[in-house]
Amino acid sequence: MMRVRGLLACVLILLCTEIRAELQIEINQGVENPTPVAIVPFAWQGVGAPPEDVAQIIDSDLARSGQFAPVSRRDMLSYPSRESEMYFRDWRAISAEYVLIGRVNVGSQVRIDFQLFDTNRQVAVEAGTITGPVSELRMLAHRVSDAVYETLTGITGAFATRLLYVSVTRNPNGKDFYRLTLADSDGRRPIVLLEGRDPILSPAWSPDGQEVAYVSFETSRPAIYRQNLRTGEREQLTNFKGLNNSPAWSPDGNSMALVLSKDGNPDIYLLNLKSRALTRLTRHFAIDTEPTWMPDGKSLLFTSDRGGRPQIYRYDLRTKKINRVTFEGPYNARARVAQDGRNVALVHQREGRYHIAVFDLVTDRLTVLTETSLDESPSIAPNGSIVLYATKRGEDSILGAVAVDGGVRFSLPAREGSVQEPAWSPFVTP
Amino acid sequence: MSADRILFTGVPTLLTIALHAGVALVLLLRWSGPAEVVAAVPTLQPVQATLVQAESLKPKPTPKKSQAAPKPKPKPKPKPKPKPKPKPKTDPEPVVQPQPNPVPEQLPPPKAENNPLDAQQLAMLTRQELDSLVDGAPGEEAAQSASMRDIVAAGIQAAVVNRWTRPPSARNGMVAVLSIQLVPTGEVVGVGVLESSGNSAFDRSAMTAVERVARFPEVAKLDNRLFESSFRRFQLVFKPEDLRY
Repeated sequence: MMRVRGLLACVLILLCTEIRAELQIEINQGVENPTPVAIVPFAWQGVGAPPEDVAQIIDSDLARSGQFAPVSRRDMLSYPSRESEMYFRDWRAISAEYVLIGRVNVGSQVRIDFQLFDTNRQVAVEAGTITGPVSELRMLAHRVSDAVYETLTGITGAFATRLLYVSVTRNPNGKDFYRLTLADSDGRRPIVLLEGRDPILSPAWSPDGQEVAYVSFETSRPAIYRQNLRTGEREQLTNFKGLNNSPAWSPDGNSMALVLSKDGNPDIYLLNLKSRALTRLTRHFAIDTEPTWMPDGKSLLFTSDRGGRPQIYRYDLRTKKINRVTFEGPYNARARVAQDGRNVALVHQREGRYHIAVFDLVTDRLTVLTETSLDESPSIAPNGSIVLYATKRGEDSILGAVAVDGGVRFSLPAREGSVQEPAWSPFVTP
Repeated sequence: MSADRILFTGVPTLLTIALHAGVALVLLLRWSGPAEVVAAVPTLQPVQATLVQAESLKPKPTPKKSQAAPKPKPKPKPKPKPKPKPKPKTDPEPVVQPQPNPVPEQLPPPKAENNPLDAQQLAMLTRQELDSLVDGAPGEEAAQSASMRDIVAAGIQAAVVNRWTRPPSARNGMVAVLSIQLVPTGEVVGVGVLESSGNSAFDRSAMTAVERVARFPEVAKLDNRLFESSFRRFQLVFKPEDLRY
């Protein structure tokens, strides 16, 4: 009897443990499959035909990210535009995990109402209203894309941003024709900011996205200009003998790093935009060029061949010390740092070919992202997800884009000529 | 006097410690049970035995609680100790598994109506079962069901891994724990977040992975006991380790 009781005590102890310890299964891996989403055509409440297909813009945005596989409209069993018209079974039948519905209302302004549903749990996971001028309808659609993207990925969307690039039209009979163009992040709505027969180089954004800087040869030698996008106001910042190149606005907007060769060979300088004071940062007989700021504004990365071959170095503004950053391969140049301060997009040479690669400043690991061979001028989206770059297709260059995780590649439509030196804008508050 | 003291206080204390250690050992070994036997459907004898026991179990614990605790403890010690050595992980299973459901509900009420007859029967059953466990035969069955459980758990893991698309904001080291409820056909009837990773896109991706699978067919092949004990409700821990960072 006693023995049995003892055993029972033992059993009880085991029992308690058993109840608490539910079976646990760990999931440590996953797959890289795009999430199927359905972007239902938005209901149009306005006079005449809608000027833009808002749902199509969002559809293309999400598809371009590589993280989503939009469902074809032909497969949709209905086009709901309100929650009361949603039949989740219909959407699960076509394997759409998320459904975006919405309405576009045009009065003196445009108002877009949207709702995003999770078809598995049959709940709305995001809803919102975006308003703005009719002329900005495409940008408003991109902002819906941003909201959807952020909800589903946990990362801020960068669709409602803009690109700056230089295009060159070759002229066999005379001088080439250069254009500095501003476009939406999908390459649409291009606006020419500056054009002429003189070369334009190194377009760069101010941190608030209101101004751009670039190098123009219009005075027959290179000079750095800044230009306000709203007012069109333009100012020449430098006019030194020799190279005036690679303007890079500091994150606080107060100064600009640039490359000058006025004291001999190219070195990095810092121009205070308020006092116009010029400070020389590097002093080396090698070429120091292509400065770019770390997001904290405490140091700069630049390209230098002081070690014999072009590599990336870091200049610490406080200690004034220079450290070499990249060691892999014979050529690493033209760095651009993502907002996380960790991923650096650069041009990397491997087996004689120039690829876009991403270098991780924490792990020192370099990952080649592209398979094309003459890739140059990487620029990272403000959310760090995509690297835009110029690459050769035949005689011309086009804009290519690749996800920082290497998952997706696409190219942006080139309007005319060769497209060079893309610069992705920072986030712009509407 | 001093000898008595040692006998009545020192020895029970030691035995108690030994018992706890034994239990801990049993549990530890059981969790890490390797899948050695890939075996046929286990027969249900241990289940039935324990189910009966479970019903009549309530009277037993109550007397124990009210009575002196140290007395019964010294005796069980020999039992659990020898067990872990021959087949450590197997022992607790048949005794323990079937009871989670009945026990919590039934333990409190019967306190008053302490039926000695029931207790006797229960004691008999328990002893029979434990004896048979010590003999070894049903223990092997337990081993089989433990390995069955591992096999099915691995199947569930693989199915979920194949459907889990991590959002780009996912980072190695994030952890989300989901509670999953199944019905015996293996169909998922409940998914809930027990512990959030703090990133709602990450949590949602984990839930979506389970919902994409929707049904774990391997669970349907399980015997009832194993299903109830391990798979009617279990936890999935989403913890990426293969991301770039």
